[in-house]
Amino acid sequence: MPTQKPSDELLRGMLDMLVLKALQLGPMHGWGITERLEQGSRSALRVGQGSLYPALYRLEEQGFVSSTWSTSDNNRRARFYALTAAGRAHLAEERQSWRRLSRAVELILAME
Amino acid sequence: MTTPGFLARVRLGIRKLTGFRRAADLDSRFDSEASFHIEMATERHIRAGMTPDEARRAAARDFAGQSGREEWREQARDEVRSASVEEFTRDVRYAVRGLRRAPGFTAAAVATLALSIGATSAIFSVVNAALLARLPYPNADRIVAVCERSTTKAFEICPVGGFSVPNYAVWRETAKSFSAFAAFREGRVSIIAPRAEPVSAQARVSTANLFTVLGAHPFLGRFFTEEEDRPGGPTVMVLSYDFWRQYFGGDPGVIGSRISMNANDYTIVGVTAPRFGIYDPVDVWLPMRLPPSAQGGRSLRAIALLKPGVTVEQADREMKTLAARRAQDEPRYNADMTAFVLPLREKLVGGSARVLWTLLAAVGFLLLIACANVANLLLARAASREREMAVRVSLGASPRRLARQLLTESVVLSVISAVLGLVLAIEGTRLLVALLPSDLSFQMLGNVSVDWRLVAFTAAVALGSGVLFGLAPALHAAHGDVHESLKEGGRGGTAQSRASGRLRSALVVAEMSLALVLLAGAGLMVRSFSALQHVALGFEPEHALTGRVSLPGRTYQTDTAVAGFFEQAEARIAALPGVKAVGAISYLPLTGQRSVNGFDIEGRAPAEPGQQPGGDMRAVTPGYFRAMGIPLKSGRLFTPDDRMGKPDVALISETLAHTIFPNEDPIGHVIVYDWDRTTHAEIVGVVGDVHHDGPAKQTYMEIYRPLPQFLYGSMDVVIRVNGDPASYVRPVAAAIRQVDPSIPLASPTPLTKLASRAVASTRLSASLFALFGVLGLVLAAIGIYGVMAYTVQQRHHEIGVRVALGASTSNVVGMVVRRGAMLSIAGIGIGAVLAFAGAGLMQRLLFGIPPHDRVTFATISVVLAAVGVFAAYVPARRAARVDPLTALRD
Repeated sequence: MPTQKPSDELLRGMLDMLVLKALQLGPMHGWGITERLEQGSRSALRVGQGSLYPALYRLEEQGFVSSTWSTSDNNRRARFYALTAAGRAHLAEERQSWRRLSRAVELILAME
Repeated sequence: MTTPGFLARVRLGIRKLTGFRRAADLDSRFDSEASFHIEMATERHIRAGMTPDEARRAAARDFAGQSGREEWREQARDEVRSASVEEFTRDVRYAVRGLRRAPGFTAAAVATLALSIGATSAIFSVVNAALLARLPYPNADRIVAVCERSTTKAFEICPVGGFSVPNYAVWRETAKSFSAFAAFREGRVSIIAPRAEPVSAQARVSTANLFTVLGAHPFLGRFFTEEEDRPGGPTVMVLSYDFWRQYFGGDPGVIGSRISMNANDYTIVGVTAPRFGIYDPVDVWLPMRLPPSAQGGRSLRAIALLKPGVTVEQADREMKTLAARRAQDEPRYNADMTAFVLPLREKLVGGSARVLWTLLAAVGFLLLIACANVANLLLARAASREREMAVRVSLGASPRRLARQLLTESVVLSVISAVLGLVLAIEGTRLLVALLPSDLSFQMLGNVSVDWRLVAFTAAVALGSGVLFGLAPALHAAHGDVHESLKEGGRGGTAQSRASGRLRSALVVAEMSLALVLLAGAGLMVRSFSALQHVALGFEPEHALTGRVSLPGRTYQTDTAVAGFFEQAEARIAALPGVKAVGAISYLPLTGQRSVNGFDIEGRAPAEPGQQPGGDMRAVTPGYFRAMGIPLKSGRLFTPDDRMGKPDVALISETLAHTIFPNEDPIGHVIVYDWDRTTHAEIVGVVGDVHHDGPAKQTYMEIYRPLPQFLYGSMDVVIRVNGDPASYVRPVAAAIRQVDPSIPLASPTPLTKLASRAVASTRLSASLFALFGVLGLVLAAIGIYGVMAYTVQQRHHEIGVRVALGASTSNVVGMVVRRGAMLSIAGIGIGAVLAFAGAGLMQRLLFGIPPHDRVTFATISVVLAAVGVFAAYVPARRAARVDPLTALRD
């Protein structure tokens, strides 16, 4: 998107997609999601908490994830997030659009 | 974006509604989550070898990041609260940014829209004040005008002073529909305020209950009491606020003081509130003091306050019944007369309502053309932004999202324009009010101002037009195939750009047809105005000054005194250098005043009561016809010798001569007044017809009498001069003062001003229509130019091929111009059908021209076609210069 700050929207959309993907493996709390993403990217991506929680709240607001209080592995009270049906569909669509994007970006980069 | 499930949406809605209560919950939930997160991070840091303290600090620092925990807690909360608000503000920001990046486009669009929104709002503000806003009276919706009308003669509806004095005296007692039934008339009086020159004041002589009907409260003192409104009551007067400020310096001490009016002493009892009035403004208010069984002609105006719950129709029925009874009781004056009731607003606005609605419609058309033009600009811009849109779709923006984005852009554009337009409207309204026809009464124009209706109207127009012109590009974006255009790499000729081309052509056709409708209206109005201008009024308005001279009845009691005054004054005025002729008349043409009475011809069988022809009676001095430039057709004019005691004489107008004496010479016949059987006036001459009510109105049967034989104490003086009439005001006033120092010259006015005021309404609508028509034409021309320029650019490649294959310059020019001409002709055709269908609605605004005037329609069609072809010719020339080599290489 050719605005002055392309990273905002782009990264936000990407983060949403990654968070949904992380939750596709099963319900998890915020901390666990950062760990999953870190492991999944072989430590290439570190999601700042400053973006993660707003993303989770937003996704929940949009109905893509649901959340509930539960107990963590080490017996602490934590908020667990789970993918909803809408979230699953959204993830699929985001994947599609990500593929298109990378193709488009490739096209642009290949342009003279 | 996937639509969240229905339940999720319901939940989301509920959450938004309860957002306030949830803020606290959200904070506490967030705090728990944050501490859990920090604990987990701390453990990890400890596992990595940090001391517990270090680990906790690091984890907390990580969590807060650079922005600080508070700040992004806010952010998290905002995410929940306002996903859609945020999206909207983002759209707006994006739109503003986009508009700033295209300053040329933005300036063109904003200028077009601001002008047309401003014009629309300015016209609306006048419509609002005249037709929609509350009248400035407490019980405005219960105030009605009560009028009498002949059932056989085509007189003006509810004329000035057409209400019978005896009928009023009877009906004010018998009419049941009204809680107050008031009457009034106007007159000129001379007032001598302490330490000032005598001043001629416009007086309204009214019944005391007029103030009740209007629900008025005095600014100072009080209004008349019922006692003061009886014959022989004390002589009191109420000053208008403006008159009090101007001549009494706003001194509150005037209440109770006595001043001289028409050589009588009057006590000032009150001052009206600022801007209080009904119909035309007046300076002073006097009680009518009507006796219970009053006699007199039709010289009053009547208004009444409906009893609560009584409708206008009920009151109208009652008045018609009462009028029928009067016609039986007093057939002499009431046969073939009826009474009717109409809402005050209808009486005040009269024929102006149609003019105003027509103008509003015209300016609405202009706005539509502007919208079409801006839609076209947006479509052209959309074409150049196809790639940008394609990239945005790749980044995950849904077509719906894009459409909303584009719509937001349009609305932002129209809101900016509306703000500018409102400023223009406020200025434009001031101008309009100054130009407005005088038949809209003053108290409503006082109301023309910026009120919530105007702002709401402008906002609605802005939003409406924003959506209207934004819709085409937005729909277009929503249906476009972006991958196509990404692959296309910007070259034209895609299905999408062809669709866009069709849409743009359709818009241009619409613009042309609207422009034709506007121009047709403009053409008809301008031709009406010019027809009005060419009507011979029957007198020569140039180089003549007029003014009113009123003699107080107490000092000028005899005919010799009155006639003597005017004889002396006219002699002194005539002696002034540069004065060519001078005369006087009881009611000058174009002032709306008249006194119509029945008459018979001696030696012919008298007509049945109420069946007599109505003659318009005016008193004149001998010099009047020469001063006005009214020609004598046969016989002789009056001389100073036609005085009291000499044989009664009369002059008649040609209309009367033709109507009453179709086959004989009227000279020598004798006129007998219906109301004064003792007067037998011999016709000594016939003078030319005069359009007393304005060029658009019929000429009446006029009967002129010499002043000494038909006495009026108040006359309009006419002075024909060399050069500028305005420069004679002072010397003429001085000449009159030499005869009697207490007599002022009231409202001195060049005669041309009266003449131009008589056509002011038509002139205003003609010039506004012409303005809108020309603007519409220019916009439509820009539209055609834009589309053709765009087409040429899109077909650059194709044209290159044609030129390479040997197409000549004229081939190429012809191809492009033909296309432009086709669009114009389609637009003209559709517009002509529309205009033809709608022209009938303008019938009553037109003069001397049929609404389907072929010449007008043909002329503007040709003009429009020529402009259309020219607008296409410019880009066609550019097309012809296409270099085939570069075009093909691109």
